[in-house]
Amino acid sequence: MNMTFHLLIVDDNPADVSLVREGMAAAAYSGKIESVGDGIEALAFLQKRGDFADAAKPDLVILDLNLPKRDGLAVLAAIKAGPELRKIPVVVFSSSQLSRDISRSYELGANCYVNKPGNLRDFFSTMRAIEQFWFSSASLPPRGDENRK
Amino acid sequence: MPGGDSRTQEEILDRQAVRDLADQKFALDQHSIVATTDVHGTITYVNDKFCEISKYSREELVGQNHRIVNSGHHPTAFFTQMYRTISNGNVWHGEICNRAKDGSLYWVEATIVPFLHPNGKPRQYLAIRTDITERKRAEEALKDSLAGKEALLKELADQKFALDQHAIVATTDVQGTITYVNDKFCAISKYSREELVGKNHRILNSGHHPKEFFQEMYRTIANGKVWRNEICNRAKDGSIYWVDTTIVPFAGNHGKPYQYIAIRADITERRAAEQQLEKQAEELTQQARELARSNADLEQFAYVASHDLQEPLRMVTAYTELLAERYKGKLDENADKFIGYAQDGATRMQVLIQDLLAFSRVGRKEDAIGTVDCAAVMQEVKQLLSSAIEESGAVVICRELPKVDAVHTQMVQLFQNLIGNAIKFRGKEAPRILVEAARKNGQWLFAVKDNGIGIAPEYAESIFVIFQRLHARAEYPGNGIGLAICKKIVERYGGKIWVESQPGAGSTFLFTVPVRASQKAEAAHA
Repeated sequence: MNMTFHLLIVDDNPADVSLVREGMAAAAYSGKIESVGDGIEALAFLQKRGDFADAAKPDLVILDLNLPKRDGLAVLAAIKAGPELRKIPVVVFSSSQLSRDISRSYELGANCYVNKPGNLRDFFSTMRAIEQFWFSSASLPPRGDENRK
Repeated sequence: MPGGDSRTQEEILDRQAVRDLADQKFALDQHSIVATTDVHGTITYVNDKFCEISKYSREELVGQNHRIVNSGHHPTAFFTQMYRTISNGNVWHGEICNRAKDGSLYWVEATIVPFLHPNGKPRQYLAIRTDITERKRAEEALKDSLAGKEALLKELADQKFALDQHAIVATTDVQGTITYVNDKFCAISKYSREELVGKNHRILNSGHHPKEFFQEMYRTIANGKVWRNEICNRAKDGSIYWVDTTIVPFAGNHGKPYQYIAIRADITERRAAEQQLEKQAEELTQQARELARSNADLEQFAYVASHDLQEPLRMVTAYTELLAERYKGKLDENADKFIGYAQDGATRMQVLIQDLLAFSRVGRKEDAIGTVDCAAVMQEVKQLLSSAIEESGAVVICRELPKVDAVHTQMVQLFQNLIGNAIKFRGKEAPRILVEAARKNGQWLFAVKDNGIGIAPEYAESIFVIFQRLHARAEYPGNGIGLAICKKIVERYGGKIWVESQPGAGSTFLFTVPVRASQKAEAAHA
């Protein structure tokens, strides 16, 4: 099977987005990576609204919490409230270590909570772990339609 | 009457005279104490009343010298004068104190009449006396009581003098009209006596006190009770003075007060001092409040700053590392070196910010205070430091430790920092660390004792200041945050931390933690 995975990064910091891309590349991820910079865009993307009418449904969302317009927890709540969207695994990826943020994320249905590591080595190994787990070990929900070959 | 005609007219007259005399004598004997003595004072006759009062029988008296009833009360001169009078043929009047047979004293008012020979010399003396013992007693009593009253009056006058020297005194009638003021009252109020007497006491009202204050005062004294308080008055020149005032109501016949006496002491200076103190205390409280607020602001700032600085710093760290990884050896030597410096600085800054964040987190109300078993904390700390303990060959001895009211993670941090330091700053020998606690002055005194390199006394305080380091980074790594955090944790619970140490002789870090409320109660019952 040669499927093309779709990863959506929701993060307003292009440097972080770039690091995730680098990390994924280093982890030999070969799928597509797309990114949006705020909560409103994230929901538009997932609900295929406006500019994102043609967007593909992602297999995994990497979601920052500290987002402009609508914050990560609100985006997470919206994703987990919809019958279709809730199937998409969401990895909350935040620099916050507050237990409040961690608990709230799981309460809202986050599939896991990962702390953004401070140095490159740890960051890359985290990316490798995410890639390994979600795109190799785990079975993702089947996508009835489109572009998976 | 038989044979009446044989009597001469003279005889009849004589008989009549004798009867009259006898009647008078009888009357005299009923009334008076009568005695006769010869010129030597020997008693020749006494009547019944004499016997009665002297408690001697007639037989015991007649033939005795009159001295038998001498009481010793009068001086010799008294009797000398008496004898001189009567021996010269003159009548003597006087009051004499005599002694009865049973030793009791009695007073008589005496009239002694000398009866004379034709040559003018006395032949005998007749003494007529009246018992005046009761009168004398009443007189004595009156004299005593008068003397007593006099002394009392004198004492009162003395006391009033003393009071006037000392206190501000005034009396008012029940309407509050001033009826009397002493000099001190005039001096402090700066009014003359004439200006005050007849005026209502309100003349001195400063307006400082609310109406209720005086209403309460009048209610108290009108009910006959003593009122005491401090009053602020206004003198004639407008100046304000304070008097500690006691007002005593004086009740008339019906129990209603008819006047009030007010005794006052000038406390203006004391009030001024008190007000100064109050003002200072208020200022201090204000300063403390401002300090607490600015402290809280600063902590909030440190927290926010350190938290928010982490994000951009993460980028710097990650991208300098990425640069190093991807371009090392591909540029020139200098580039490699520069990237190295940037990386090193970024890493150090990251540690600093994390420390600052940890420091500013102490005291934030994120964790609840509960019962913490320090023995369990030490177990946890040994576990956390197991690799350092193993590498250094440290021996950590832990005596019996109490339970305290604290945040568990903070107690772990406290002990971890202290034990960690004891291992880090070890001497040539393997570290030996003793942890113990004892109750002292209502607090737990903890001691963490090591055999390490020790600290010079001049650094004993500065080591607890954030980012203070005594050693080069290469020698002993660290940022100088550990003890600052310890201090903040200990002080958060109202305790103190300090060190006792000499270079080369090991250190003992001591800190206090308040005894838990329940343990205090146990101690009180013990």
